[in-house]
Amino acid sequence: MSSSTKFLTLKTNDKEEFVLDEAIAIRSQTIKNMVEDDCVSNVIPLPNVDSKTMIKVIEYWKKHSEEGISKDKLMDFDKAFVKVDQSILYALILAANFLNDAEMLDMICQEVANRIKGKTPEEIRKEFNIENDFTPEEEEEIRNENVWAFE
Amino acid sequence: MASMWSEVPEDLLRLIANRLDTLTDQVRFACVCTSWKSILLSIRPSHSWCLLYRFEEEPSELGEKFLFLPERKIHHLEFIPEVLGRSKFRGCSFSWLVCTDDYSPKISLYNPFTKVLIALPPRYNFPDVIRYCPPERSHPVYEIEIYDVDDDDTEIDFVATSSVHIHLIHKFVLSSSPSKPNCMVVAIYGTMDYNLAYCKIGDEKWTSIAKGRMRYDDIIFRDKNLLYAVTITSHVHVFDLSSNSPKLVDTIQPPPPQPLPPPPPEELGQPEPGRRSYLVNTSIGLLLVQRHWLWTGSLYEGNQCEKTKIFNLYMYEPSSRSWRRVENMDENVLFLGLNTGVSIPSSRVGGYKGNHIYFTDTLFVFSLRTARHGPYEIGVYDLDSKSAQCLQRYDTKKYWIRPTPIWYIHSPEDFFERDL
Repeated sequence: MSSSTKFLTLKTNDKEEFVLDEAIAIRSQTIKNMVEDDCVSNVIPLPNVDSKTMIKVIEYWKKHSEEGISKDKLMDFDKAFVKVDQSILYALILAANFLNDAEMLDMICQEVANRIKGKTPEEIRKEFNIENDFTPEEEEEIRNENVWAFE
Repeated sequence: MASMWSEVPEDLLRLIANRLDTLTDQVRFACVCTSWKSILLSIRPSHSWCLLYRFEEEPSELGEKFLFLPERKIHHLEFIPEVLGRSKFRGCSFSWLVCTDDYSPKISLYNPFTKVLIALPPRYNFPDVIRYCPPERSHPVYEIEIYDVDDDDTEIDFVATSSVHIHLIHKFVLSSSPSKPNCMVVAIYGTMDYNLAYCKIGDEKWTSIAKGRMRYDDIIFRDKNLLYAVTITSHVHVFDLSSNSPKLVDTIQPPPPQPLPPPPPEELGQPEPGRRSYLVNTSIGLLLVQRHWLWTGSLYEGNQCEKTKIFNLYMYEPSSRSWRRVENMDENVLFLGLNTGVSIPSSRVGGYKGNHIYFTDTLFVFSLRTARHGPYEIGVYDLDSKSAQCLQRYDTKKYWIRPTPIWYIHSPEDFFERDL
């Protein structure tokens, strides 16, 4: 640990403030760029992230910054981390995208893909609570041509 | 309340879709909602595999094994028994295979993903058949019109069924996916590929388009009703199939011949070099491709086969009704063989290089009574270096030549596009 640990204050869109070690916060490429460009005053606003999601993100960052943590432990952590309701997963994917954390984004996209794999379109809609917005004609045509995909 | 997943930003949706490896998952993904569907069509939507049946004693529970080039990976693809047994694949359009059977007059369309089988009119309902004596008789035979090239005349003869099924039919193309109305299937058939006929799904008989006019190398639809057929002399006949009696509406003259390099000394003593023409629809027009090969191996030792040397490409210029020589295809990948010729940007088909031609030879017979001898040629041609490389000169002891090697090109678009 460096002796001159710097802290950053992150402010989510619901006005919560999080004080965080800079070394951890710069896992976010977005924050790193701001720090490097010297455009950080006291508080970094995160207009696209709410506090509930930020708590999860910080939990992830801290775990992944732990010194000497084993790969197996990290894998177990990641596994548990993505075991959340689709609405939280959605908030996380947007947050990871906005904060530009490639590693985290990669993991969440993989989780979404895993939840899609092997499911029929109807099961996927149920999993992600998606409304079927095809017109009845489109729906019929798709069904006729892809009967197998619906089985 | 509906969630936001249907409004995921496009770039994120693309990241997710890119992680779906199987075609089934990709198509199902596209069936979820309109925004997901639009994404899928924009990412690596095509797959192209060269189907080679790998013969093994033990049947697998996972389905039949096929070798897919160029990955050289073995994949399991379930083929229903009606198709697999003794089939030859003689066409691949819009993700459908056209299957014929050496020992049965049956002809069918088969989609290996949906496992849907559609029967087409049988071989004995082609216009050249006078009479078919079914197999209950001791020696099933066809009484059939045989075209005599030397006399420029047809004669009626009795021919064994397997000869007709193997030698007197060559290649099929489709005008659209069979799930669309008015889908037409066209066949090159008869002695030395001299005839063309078509049928629509549900027809009982094949209707003649051309008979004994010229020997055809390849056919392709340019429009729902316009069929382009290239002859061995590289003339292109254009047929209008919109009425019940197909008409020849145009003949496009061949491009001027290009001199070929002399064969290397080790090839001397082999038969004359061969040439086959292919037609390919591209985004900018109709492409005529000529493949030139030399013979290698020995006819007597049973290993004679084609060795492709050079491809010549020509783009059709409708204004001057002539062919313009094309030196390169930029990022496009061409697939040629018994499949309907296609040109796909390399970014949209994984594992293949742009400006390259992937081909399989399509020769079944040398004449009516002699079957092919050597292995099929499956290769890739680099348009930059003008050199061909063999992808797999496969060992006939390990791999059955049945079904015929064919490029199977599959795009999710085939499941969604309304029209040609």
